[in-house]
Amino acid sequence: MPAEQHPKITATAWARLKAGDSYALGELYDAYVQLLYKFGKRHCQDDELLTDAIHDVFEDIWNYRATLSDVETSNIQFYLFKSLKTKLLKYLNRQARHTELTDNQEYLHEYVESAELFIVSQEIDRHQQHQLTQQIALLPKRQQEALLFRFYDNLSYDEIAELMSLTRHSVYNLIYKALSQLRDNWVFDLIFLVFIVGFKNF
Amino acid sequence: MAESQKKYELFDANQLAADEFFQQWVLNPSREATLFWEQFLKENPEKQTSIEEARRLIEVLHFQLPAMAETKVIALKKRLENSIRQPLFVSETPILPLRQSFFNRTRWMAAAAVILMLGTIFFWQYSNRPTEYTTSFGQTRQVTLPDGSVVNLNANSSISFAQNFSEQPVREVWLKGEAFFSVKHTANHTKFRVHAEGLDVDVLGTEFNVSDRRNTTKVVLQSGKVQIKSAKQSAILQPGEMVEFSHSTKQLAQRKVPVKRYSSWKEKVWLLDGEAMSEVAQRIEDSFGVEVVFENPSLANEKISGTIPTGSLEEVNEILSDLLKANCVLTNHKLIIK
Repeated sequence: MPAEQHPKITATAWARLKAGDSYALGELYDAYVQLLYKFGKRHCQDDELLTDAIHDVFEDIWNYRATLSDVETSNIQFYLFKSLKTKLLKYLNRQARHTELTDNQEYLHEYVESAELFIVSQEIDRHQQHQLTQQIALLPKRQQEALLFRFYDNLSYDEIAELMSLTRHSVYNLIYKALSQLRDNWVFDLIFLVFIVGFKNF
Repeated sequence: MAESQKKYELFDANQLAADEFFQQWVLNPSREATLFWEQFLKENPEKQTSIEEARRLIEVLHFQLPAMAETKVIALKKRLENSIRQPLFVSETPILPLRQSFFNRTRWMAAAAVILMLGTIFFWQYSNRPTEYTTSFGQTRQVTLPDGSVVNLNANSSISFAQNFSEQPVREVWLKGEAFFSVKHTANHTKFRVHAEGLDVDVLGTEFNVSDRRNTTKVVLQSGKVQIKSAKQSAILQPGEMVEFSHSTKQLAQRKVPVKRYSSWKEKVWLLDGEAMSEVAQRIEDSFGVEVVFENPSLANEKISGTIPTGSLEEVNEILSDLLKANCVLTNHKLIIK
């Protein structure tokens, strides 16, 4: 199974949360805090600010639980991501006013290089994992971002479009370009490997 | 999703890999999608290489990202608990002995006497025969209780409850065998109690599996919170934990388990991850009522991993023969593994 199975909470737990069961909020937190962190970390390197934002996402859910809609459990993750993104934008803008940083919208979208992303697929050996990781690091940031939304977070093209403020078609283009480039380089690597092995056998 | 086969006839590997419907099939194949792509391949055999390449490309994109440190996860949860002023952590009291003072015992006896009297009165008033659902070997069924809670009953099991179940101060059911419960939370927080051999499980709204087979009662919690009480001990379960109660030693033991493995039977599959064949044999005996005989005893220790559909004994038998690379013969009341 290539895609990581992210923990999910059940519809029952969501209903309990709406009914005011705080343990259900605890379950929601346990199931999604890491996903939110990994999402936020890609856009904001300031750990303290990110932690504050995550805290506020869950606090809001509790305070406004009565108005929560009957979200399909498969959409909870997207709902939380949107909420975290709004919070991060707000805080970064507030911070910008203090430090007089300009153009914070850009800052949020800037994909952070030190995000320490690794390919850990079991299907290929360590050397290939390393190579693929390097190739992904060379892709334009927006392509990396879209790839992760699709293949790490399992978001749909429509959801990615909404989060990245793009059309669905632009998201498709980002992913198409990223995959094409990876595949071209990857196929090249395989041929290269075969050549070396063949050479050694002589 | 009704995709048209025509749309894909001119696609190359890159276009396939970037197609959401194709990706969904690779990442999380549904029966319809698999049928669709099998059919597509049959009609467009020249696309085999493209499909394989696109598939492989998506399969290797398995990312790992830096996680939040576990201490920070807990610290943030505590901070959240403080700001909403409500408990988030299910109390972590492990198994505790129940105090059994003389006073306690007399109180229990008094309570028992009162319950007995009330019980008699209720019996007279309603002469209420409990409702009972049973399953035979090889059969599972779903029962919706009067309060809307859902019980999936595994093979060779039974559940019973009073006819006026929903009006009781505590919603009580009695279980023999194995069942998965999805308990509905009521507006007035009525408790839900499962009586199994030697154990009571108390819940609010939650999902969990109870099995009492072969002198062990096991409770596995999927979500929510439950309290387990035996005659001498009590334990609170967190999601992902199991309590085992041995009928002989009367002791509770608590540990973390992969929940899916204990509840997958209700989707008519067993998820096995290195279980000994002897354990699988017990499951077969419990669910299908046949005796499993090992002619080659070393096969009993063989570790089994994978998914076994449990629609019928014949199906299980076929897959086991495959997994064990052994000859499994099904006779009347016996499954012989050679």
